[in-house]
Amino acid sequence: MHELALSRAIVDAALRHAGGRPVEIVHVRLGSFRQAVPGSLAFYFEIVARGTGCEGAALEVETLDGDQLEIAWIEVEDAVRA
Amino acid sequence: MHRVRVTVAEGVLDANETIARANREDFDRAGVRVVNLMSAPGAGKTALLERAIEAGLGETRIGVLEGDVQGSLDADRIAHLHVPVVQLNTEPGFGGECHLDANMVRSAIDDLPLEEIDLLAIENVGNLVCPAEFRVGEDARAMICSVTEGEDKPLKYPLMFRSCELICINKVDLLPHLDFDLERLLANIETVNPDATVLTASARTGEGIEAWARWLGALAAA
Repeated sequence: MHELALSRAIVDAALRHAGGRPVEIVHVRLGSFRQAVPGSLAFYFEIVARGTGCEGAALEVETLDGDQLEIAWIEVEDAVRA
Repeated sequence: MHRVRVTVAEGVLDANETIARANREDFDRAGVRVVNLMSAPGAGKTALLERAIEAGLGETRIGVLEGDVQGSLDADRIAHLHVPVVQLNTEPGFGGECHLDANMVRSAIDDLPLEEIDLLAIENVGNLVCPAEFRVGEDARAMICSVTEGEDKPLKYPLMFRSCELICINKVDLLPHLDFDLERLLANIETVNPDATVLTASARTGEGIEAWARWLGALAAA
């Protein structure tokens, strides 16, 4: 259940940084102290992302020892060539 | 179309923290201290609040924000004691969440008579996991741990036990009837949170209520 709430926060933050562009990857750093299960996080992320700009995006969870809980980066589809 | 990487480097809960800070500023401006009261379902949050209010909190004027998934059973109990109480339900409106977050508490601030109280007790949804993650604008966190839950809980839910300033062990009147090792619970609390203030109490017999009420009063006066 904890993972559901965290997934919502992850999707919200990713959408805010995506600026309307479709999100392909969300890379999260997760410390073991947070007691969140990566597989469970990915499961809820997929559900919460439905119907948003994160739909179909891959959630990458980098597990660490500590209390980290942050979104490191996202990858988005950009129509404009750099 | 091509992919670009956007550096985010943001805490997953930063948005909640920002709103929690705004709540805290509103509470500070009104001179109200706030305690976020958490526990597993049925540990005795409401009962201990009732006993503290009945025992009297000295000069402290308390108000209560009751967080529940559904219903107003707890708010009704507190209302009988003639203190201001506001019910905050996570269903409907907040997706039936199993915890309060800063935004939910923000939505209730206008309903709270902040000018008439010195201490706001926010009774969180009964749950040892999610509430620990979400600050709501509190000055202190207190958790109730009852002796029917088992001595191992601090080790199973360290995030919750670590995040609290006060841990109040409730239902100690049941100790003679249980195979419960209080010393082991205290040792486990010491392992995960050596800085916590630990009290023992029984909402049923009134044991320890004075110290619990005193802690609340001291927080209000801080």
